[in-house]
Amino acid sequence: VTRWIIALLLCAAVPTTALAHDGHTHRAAWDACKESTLGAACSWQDGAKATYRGTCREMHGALMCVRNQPIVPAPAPAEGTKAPQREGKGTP
Amino acid sequence: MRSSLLHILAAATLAGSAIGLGCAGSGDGADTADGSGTPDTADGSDASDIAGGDCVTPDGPGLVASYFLAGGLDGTIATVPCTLDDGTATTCYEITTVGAPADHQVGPFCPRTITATAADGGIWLANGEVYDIDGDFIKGLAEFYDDPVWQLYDATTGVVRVTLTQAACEAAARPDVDPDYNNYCVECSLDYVGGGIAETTLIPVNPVARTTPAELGAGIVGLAFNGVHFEAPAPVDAILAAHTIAAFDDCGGHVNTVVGYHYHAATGCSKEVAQCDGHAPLIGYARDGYGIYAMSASGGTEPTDLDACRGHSDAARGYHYHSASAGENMFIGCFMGRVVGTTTGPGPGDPGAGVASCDTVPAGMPCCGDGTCGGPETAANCAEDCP
Repeated sequence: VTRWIIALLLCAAVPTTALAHDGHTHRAAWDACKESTLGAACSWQDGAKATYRGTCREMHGALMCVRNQPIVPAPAPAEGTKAPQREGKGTP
Repeated sequence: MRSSLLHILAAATLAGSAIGLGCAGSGDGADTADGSGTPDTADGSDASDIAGGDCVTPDGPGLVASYFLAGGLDGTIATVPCTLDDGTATTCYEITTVGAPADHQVGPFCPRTITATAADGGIWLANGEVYDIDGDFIKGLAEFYDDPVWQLYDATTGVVRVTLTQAACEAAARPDVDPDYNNYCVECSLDYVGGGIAETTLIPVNPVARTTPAELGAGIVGLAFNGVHFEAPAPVDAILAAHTIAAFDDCGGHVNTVVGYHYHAATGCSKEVAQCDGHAPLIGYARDGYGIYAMSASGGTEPTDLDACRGHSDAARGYHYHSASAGENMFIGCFMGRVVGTTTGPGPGDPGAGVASCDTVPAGMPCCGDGTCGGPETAANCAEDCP
């Protein structure tokens, strides 16, 4: 019973956002500049946690992060941890 | 056949190879701007290399008219007087395109059932990645977007809801998506616009550098050699909020009834001009006259010194751009050269494109009369609809 109580308390202590499905934002390049300004540095990550770095440029009246650095692959997972998986059904 | 599509796309886009998905590949220089079969260099570069089917030795910046495929043009490429956005009077190439690709088929876009294979549909570009739109993709959209409202198909019959008429395609593609077309796969036929919309683009013969970048706005970004326009990405909020996908074909293009068929990604599908020095191939020209090259050379790595517009200079080509990857749903970030006209203005009619104008959109669509240009035009923020 004590173990159950401890488990429940631990669950309650974890922020719900951490439990939610990470999902695809698919707006990542736009979201990266939502609170930013034209020309500001920006970055975002794809489903495989690769990093895209660039600057905010205007497209159709909205700011979007335009990458101008090579894509940085996700760091190799530490031993004993699971590598991030690409989501969805297809990858380039 | 297309089970390896994504690998081909990756090879063509990431490595900048000359792979074509059933399309003309690089070095297809038999076609000339005037269709005569005789290379007609506009800038003196060695187009005979192209005729040989191998590669070209670049000779600085500037458009080479003979690289364009005659089948994508309406007439020949002429030179005409023009005025750049800073008021400079100069000479431009006047390029009229027919609105349909000269070197590949258009479509397919949306699959018709949830059992469809990758060969039955096109691709979707999201979050840096390229996805085949097959039946499984349609079925998995709720999980894909982590939103249970997504269901683009009839659960009983497995039939995918697709905009199959011009009225449906226009209603679903307008900036404020018609609620009747929520949860639809959106596609428009080139037949709705007579097989293609002819468009004339003026590109300076001698590119003029800017000191600060100019935004792409909502106009044409550039031209592929097959006559298809490169377009800037449109914000996805409107289409995703309506649970619609404006499917691309395997070449990264789709159709709307305002500008016709156009590209949103470099997939290696259209004609490329190989470079003899091993540089990434030339895929077209930006509206400012600078070349747009594939992201990287075959087997090579992407340049590390790109500016904010995704451009840089080298001794052989001068200033030029490198396209982003297909999954990024874009080509270049801004213009580093002067263009004819302005870089702002009417949207091209894609879902969510916003800032539409009554000069360019069909009757009944919202127009930009309220000065709200920070996001998509909607019925709520637009005072009037076009008459």
